[in-house]
Amino acid sequence: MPVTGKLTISHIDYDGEVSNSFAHVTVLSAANFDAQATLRTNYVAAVEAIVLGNLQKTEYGNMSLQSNSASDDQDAQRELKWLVSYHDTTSLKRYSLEIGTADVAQLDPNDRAHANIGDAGVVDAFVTAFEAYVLSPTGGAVSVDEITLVGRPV
Amino acid sequence: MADKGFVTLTIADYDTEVSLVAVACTALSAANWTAQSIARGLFISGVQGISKGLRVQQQYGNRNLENIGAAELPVAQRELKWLVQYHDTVTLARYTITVPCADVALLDPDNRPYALLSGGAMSFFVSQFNGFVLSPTGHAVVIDSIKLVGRAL
Repeated sequence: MPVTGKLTISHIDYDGEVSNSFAHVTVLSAANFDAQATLRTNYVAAVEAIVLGNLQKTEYGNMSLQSNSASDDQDAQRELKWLVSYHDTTSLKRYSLEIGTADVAQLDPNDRAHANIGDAGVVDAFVTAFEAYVLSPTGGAVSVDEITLVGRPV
Repeated sequence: MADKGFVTLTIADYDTEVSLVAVACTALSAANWTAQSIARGLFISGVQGISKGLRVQQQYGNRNLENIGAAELPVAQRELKWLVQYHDTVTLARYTITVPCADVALLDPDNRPYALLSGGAMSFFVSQFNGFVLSPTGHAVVIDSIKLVGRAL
């Protein structure tokens, strides 16, 4: 599927309400990254000149639509989630995120509420990739503490 | 403020309900582009390894939080928007975006619903828009008009 570039600009008005403006832009790459940064800066400045709100946030990057299909696996249900609990290795602050359509086959048979960290398989591969790629909201490296199977409140 | 990186994955389940996985990561740059692409690919593979769903969309890039305060001018209202009407220079398909908190001082006194495109800030916006924005199908675009709009009455 094709990749598209996208820019979102958010403004805050007089009573604190936020509004967004989206634009399709050139797909970012290593080769055009700096040139696109210049164009984007100029564009944001041009938007700033025709509005009165406070610039809250800019967000830019690439987006790729990969499928419009449902999963073929009946066990793929978004109500079953992995709750990934992790902490910032510098501040030690704790965070969590959820991943829908959990594969419950990865549960630990000896600790049934949690994914089997230490399986030398897909769970370990996830933990390794997560710790190598994800940062905490304050920019510190992170370490996964546990991965718990959760769902809707019962 | 400095850029922060992000990635958002959209995952569909068996009955097409979607859920999101959103994480912070290293801010992208020209220098780290390739290394981050590899790390991102491994992260996405890691997520796929523990999920039964179908990944339908991925989005990655940088985010820059600039401000958290409200605008000082009472006339800065998100309900007042510039409706930017433009077209794809190849397909001629027409598109629009809206830009909130419109500065109504830029309206054309001779064509009151519309911005005066030939004047200072608006002229600068038009030239930057045409130079930077693409249509959803990836072609260059040209602005046709910029109209002041609000909520339906």
